[in-house]
Amino acid sequence: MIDEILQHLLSGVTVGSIYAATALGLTLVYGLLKILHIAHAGVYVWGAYAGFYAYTYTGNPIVAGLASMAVAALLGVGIERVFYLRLLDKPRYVPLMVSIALFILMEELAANLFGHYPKGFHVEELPRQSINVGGLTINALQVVVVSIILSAFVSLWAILAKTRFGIASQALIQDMEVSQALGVNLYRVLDVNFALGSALAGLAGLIVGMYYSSIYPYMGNIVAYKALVVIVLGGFGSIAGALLGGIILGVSEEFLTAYLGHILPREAFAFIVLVLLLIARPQGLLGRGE
Amino acid sequence: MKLGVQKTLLAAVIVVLLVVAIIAVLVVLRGAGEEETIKIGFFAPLTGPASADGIAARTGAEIAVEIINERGGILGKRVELVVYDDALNPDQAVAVAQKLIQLDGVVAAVSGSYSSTTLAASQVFEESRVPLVVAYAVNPLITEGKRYVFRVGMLAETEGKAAAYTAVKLLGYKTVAILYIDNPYGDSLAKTAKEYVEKYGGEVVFMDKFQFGTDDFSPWLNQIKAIDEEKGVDVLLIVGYYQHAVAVKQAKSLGIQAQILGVEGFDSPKFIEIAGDAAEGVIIVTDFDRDSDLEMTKEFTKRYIEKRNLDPDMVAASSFDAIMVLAEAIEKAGSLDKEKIIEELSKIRDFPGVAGKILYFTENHNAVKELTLQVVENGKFRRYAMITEEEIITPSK
Amino acid sequence: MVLPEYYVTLAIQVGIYAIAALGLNITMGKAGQVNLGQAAFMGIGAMASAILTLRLGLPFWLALPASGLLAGLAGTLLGLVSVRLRHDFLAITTIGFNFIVVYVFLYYEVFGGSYGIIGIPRPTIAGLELKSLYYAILVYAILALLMAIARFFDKTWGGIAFKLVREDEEAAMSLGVDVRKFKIIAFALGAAYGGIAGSLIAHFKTVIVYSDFEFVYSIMILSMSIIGGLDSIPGALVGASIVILLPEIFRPLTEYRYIMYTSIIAVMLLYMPSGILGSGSPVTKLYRKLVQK
Repeated sequence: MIDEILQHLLSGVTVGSIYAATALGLTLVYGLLKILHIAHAGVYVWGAYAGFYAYTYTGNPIVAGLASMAVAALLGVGIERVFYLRLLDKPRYVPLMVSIALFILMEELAANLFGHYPKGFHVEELPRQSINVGGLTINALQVVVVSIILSAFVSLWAILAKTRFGIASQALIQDMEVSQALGVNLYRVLDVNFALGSALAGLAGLIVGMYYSSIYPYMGNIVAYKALVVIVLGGFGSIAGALLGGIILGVSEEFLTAYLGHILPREAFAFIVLVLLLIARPQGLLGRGE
Repeated sequence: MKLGVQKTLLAAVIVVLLVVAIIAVLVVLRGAGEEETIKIGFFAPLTGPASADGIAARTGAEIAVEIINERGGILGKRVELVVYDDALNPDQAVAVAQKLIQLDGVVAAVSGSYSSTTLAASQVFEESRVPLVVAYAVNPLITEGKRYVFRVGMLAETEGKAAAYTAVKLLGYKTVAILYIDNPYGDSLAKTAKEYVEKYGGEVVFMDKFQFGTDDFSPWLNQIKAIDEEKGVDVLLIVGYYQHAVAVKQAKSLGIQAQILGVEGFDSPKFIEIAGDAAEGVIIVTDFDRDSDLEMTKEFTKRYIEKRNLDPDMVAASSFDAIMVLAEAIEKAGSLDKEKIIEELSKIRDFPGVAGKILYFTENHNAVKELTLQVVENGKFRRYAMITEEEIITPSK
Repeated sequence: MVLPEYYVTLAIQVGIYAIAALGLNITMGKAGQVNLGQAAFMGIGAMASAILTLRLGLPFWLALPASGLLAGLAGTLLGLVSVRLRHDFLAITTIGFNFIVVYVFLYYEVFGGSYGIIGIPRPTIAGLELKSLYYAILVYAILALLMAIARFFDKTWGGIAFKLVREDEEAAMSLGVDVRKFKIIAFALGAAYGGIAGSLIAHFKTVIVYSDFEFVYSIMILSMSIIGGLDSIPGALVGASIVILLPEIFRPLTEYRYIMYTSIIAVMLLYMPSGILGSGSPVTKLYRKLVQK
């Protein structure tokens, strides 16, 4: 029994760290622009494909990772420049709707350009063996996934907490007008935030493809909305919160699905947790009251 | 002011474009009706998450039409396939059905779509008294009590019986774990499989369902692993589609040793591509026998690979058969009289389909057909055995 | 000439979705409360209507208002939650609500589970089955009635209160408007419209499945509202026609048609964010100019 619980915990943490990686870009964007950036999931899909093709042609997983991040960062900044910046003064639902339309557009383009079928994705360089610790089976791939994501989070946190740029973006999140008056270049900070958040989403896409051995045009569908739950759990704009929120969601889904799966399916639990949480704490789990 | 003028222009352009587009489509549609052809309608999800299957199904149907036309058509006339996308949206499927029937004037139609859309459209075909042959949608309600709707695909309950038979009778195992997708296909298949495993003297030690979009199967596999360590699991029956191939991989990497048994939904080269090495030795219950001696199977496979650079799957094979069965019925009816066509469809016997020989249609218009077990060997599906036992392949209705 | 059934079908679908979009225009456009789960309310109405007629044997004419009422009740519940939440939390909550409702439909057999409910009866008047053109007339009569109600509400105390709630909650409170109450009314009313649309689609198709009310359909309804103009009552009808007819026009494009369709929406919102008939849109301005002359 204890083995089974540990096994569930391990799976939950792995999936949760993936959720966290996809939600991070969303939380950065939301902190600055207050836009629910659904098209982020489209960036994630395109990042996955970029990594897949880079790996297919070079056979090098590092190149694949870099390609994912580069393509995703470009797309993210592109969406920001072409669409979001022009819509800042519009009612909030306008950029949201545009974001959703872009997401569907990116999926459909991916389907027609890269093929409607999923692509099997097997990275030979990755360790495949499983280790048995007591009754617990630890898959080497799980270790890889969790450590890549954790190190990405740590480096991003370092950038945002320790550098001048990071301080500038924190200032913008706190008060956009005052910090602009103090000489913070809004557009540069936005670009960098979009680039970083999107790069991590691209990497997450690649890692998910690797972990589940396939990449497909519609792989962003569930991610798109589940990432919203993660940022509510973790609090908008918080990096540590995204990580925490992702892992809480991953672990609670795993257990609820395993033991209460007959009441409602997995995808419903995420949202039930969310709605209950919001009723109890309308400002989010880690959010401050107004 | 300048911006205002631009916006006005834009709006005007949009409105004009809309109107022009509507007229253009109408003109094209009117124009298309000139040539003397026999029109067969076809709908499938060509956009959205189900588009891979929709496009495979369309390719299968197109190959059938190609072959028919090369042989001189039906009743001496060329066959024209009218294809529409239903986007896996039942509202659109209803509109598509109406469009096929009223505007295109099809003689009959084939559904290359999933259950929800096919169910909605089947209602329209039934009321308009136009024959519809369903390729692979499994919901039993689609054909139940309908005069004009036929199904060439296997019913899920038949597959369930066959899976139980394979696990307990054929392979001689005892304990079975069942993990199934939560849709009419998985539900009906898994429940029948459980019933028959128990009937044949086996034991179902685990049974639970998952949603279509799942790619992390650990909540269930971890439980199965625990049961396996406690009392052993001989067979793991996974009822899903090729998108869920990763379940097989995850099961293997957790160290679950059970023989994995799959179903028709796994019948795609993509299953093997995604599961990789873990696919080796997986046995699936399906109706598309790749090692068949049928000339038609070879021809179909050859053309499919030429067109798509991909091995054909069950979805394509069933859509191919649906068109072929329909063509045969129209030919035999000797006219485009819809009543005669459905009469001929009901009289079909021993039709050599690519996706299994169709022995006949039951009272509820479900095909009774031979099944096959395919095993993955060196990255390809190969015939493992055939299932022809009447008790198993005949649906209850 | 007999109007081909295809056009009648499209007209009926446009009418029904216009009702759902109109509900959204009330909740979002008039009262400023985000609702990204309108399809769930359609689902509640459709399931209620199907169960009431099919399992309890009620006539359509009772089931229709009942399903509006039930959806309105569900809307009241969501409204009660909404008054506690800020804009974007509310948006996410309504998405969550949609997912949960759909999964309840899927998991509980009374809603037909994954098989769906078939054989939902068509309405009858004195033994005459209302289908095709007759059903279209029914749908548009209901649409006209609901538009009139929305307009009446908008022009009287409700509209003023909604505007205040939307634009400045504090000012509204200082003027003695019960903001809480009006937010809940906005949700309830919008949801009831959704429920009626749901009932109408159920009795039109005669078959419904849980997946007919998934979140993507909420987005579809929302795009109708926005394209038509969120704060405009006739905008709902314009938006519904565009969103339903545009993909039909692009039907010959088969697998490429959604690329076309979503590009048009994205570009249109970039240049015309208040929709075709929204206040400040070029079409409205043009119309005003013509009327003034």
